[in-house]
Amino acid sequence: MPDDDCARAIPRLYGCSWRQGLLSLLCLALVGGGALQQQRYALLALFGAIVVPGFVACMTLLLAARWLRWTGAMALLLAATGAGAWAVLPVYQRVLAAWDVHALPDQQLLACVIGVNVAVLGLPLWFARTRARAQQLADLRNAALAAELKALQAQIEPHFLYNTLANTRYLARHQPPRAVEMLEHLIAYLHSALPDMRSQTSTLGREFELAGHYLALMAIRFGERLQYRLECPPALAAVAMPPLLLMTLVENSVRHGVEPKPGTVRIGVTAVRQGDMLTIVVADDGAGIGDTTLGSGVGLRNLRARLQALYGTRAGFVLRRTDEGMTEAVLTLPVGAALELAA
Amino acid sequence: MTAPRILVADDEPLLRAELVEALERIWPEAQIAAAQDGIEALRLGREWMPDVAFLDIRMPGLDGLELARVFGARTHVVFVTAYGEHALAAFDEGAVDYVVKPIALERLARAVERVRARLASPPPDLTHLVSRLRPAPKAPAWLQATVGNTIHFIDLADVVYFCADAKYTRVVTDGLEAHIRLSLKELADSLDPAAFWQIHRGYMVAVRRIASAARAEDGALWVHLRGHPARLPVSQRFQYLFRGM
Repeated sequence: MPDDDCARAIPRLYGCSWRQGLLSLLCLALVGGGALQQQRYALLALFGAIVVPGFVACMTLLLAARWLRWTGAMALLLAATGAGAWAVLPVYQRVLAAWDVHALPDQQLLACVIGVNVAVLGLPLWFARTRARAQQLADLRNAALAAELKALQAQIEPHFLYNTLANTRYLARHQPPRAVEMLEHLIAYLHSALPDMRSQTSTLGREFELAGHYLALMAIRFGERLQYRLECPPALAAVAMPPLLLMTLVENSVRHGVEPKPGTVRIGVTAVRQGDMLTIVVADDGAGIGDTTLGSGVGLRNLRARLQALYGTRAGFVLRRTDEGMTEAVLTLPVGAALELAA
Repeated sequence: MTAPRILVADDEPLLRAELVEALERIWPEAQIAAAQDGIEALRLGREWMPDVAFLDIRMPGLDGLELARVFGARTHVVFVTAYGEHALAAFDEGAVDYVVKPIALERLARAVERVRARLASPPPDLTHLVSRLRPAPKAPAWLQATVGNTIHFIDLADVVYFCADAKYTRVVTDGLEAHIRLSLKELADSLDPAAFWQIHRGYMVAVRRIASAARAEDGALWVHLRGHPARLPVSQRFQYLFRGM
């Protein structure tokens, strides 16, 4: 994710237009002139010793802004101020010696120059960083919410309900026991699909159950064209995971694997745990991703947005075509990791 | 008159059976054949020459719209469409009839009545209607690219720029560089021209990542990017894009 907040904050904090710059220079000249007029040479020299390194530090930051992140900007600010103070020290001593005025000791002067500059220049940068972090977090939370909402909308397509009910109507007339079976799957599916959006977490077992009901419905609808196998190791059933991620993958597999391909398609859903990572694979031998290079599906985009919002970079998702011609959607989630964003 | 022949094509077996049953009841003298996908429907259409075809629009192999076009002048078509799937307004011009799933018996009976009345005359030309019904291709949102032998799905929002690379195109994001099997030209034709600008024969850049365009000492124009170190050349032909920027 591009993080150019810092690059944008630097010109805002340290940059100025030509007119503002000239005005500041005029102010500086006035202050300097005033001090000179009043013969306050010690103050004037101290003032100069503070302003010059600060100016240098600002210029350095502005020039380097494009390549800087927050930590880099802080370090550069400290380094530039330090180097400036160190460089200005002998000049200060020499000038005051020439004017024959008592100079501040070296340590005091350095402390003064660095202290003032870090306070004046560093604190705004610090606050800007805090604000940017908070903003980023808020953005992520919004993205998570938006993705959840979209997932909810995608869940209960009228199209899905109508087609399922039409199937049930036919079965009710000809094979009532199967109609009942189908209705039971539908009820269980709706039961687990609907309230999920209110909770942030589900379990692997629950998600597999939901996917199972969905696939059972689809298998009745598509008849022999759809065969499926779900394998959730009992030991993993209680592992926590976000709701409806698995459903997105299974639906995708039905829509893009089974629907467009004439003949039988097999779908397999499996889960394995390796150390701290949970890997869930939805594989099908259907139409697959084929040769299309550009796609417009928003399902996977939402899935990625959710993963990014919930886990940052710790979760992964890959869609790939194996050598045997299977299409595999592979989801990798950290196990037991507290979600970065609580509801 | 010989018994009219009806072809029913739907890939969901129970819905197909239901439609066949309903038609048998409404139109008892007709002969009915059923196809389970577009390819079977095409074969039946050619060999059996149906007078009427009830075609599900979404089917594997060959979809209902394509079939309607192929059946052309021989067969009267009634589309069967899932709720909310197509712009039904297009049907209402009267050139062709449709029923919405789940099928309501009275609606189907009316469609049958109308098609029976039309049987004597040749079916209307559907080419125009079919092209209107075919959903407009949506603007692409992601692309498929390969790194080694892994296929990556890249969100177009993550793309920084594209770069022509022999026959293929290299796509550059903040995190990776990958190859896509399309030429830059083909890519340019299918991407949103407001989101990606071609700035050179070999380069196309994501507009929202352009930070500035500046002339170098030798007079060449270069694009600098937001949050990415690369700078890209702008050829003479595309410099108009940056006028007044």
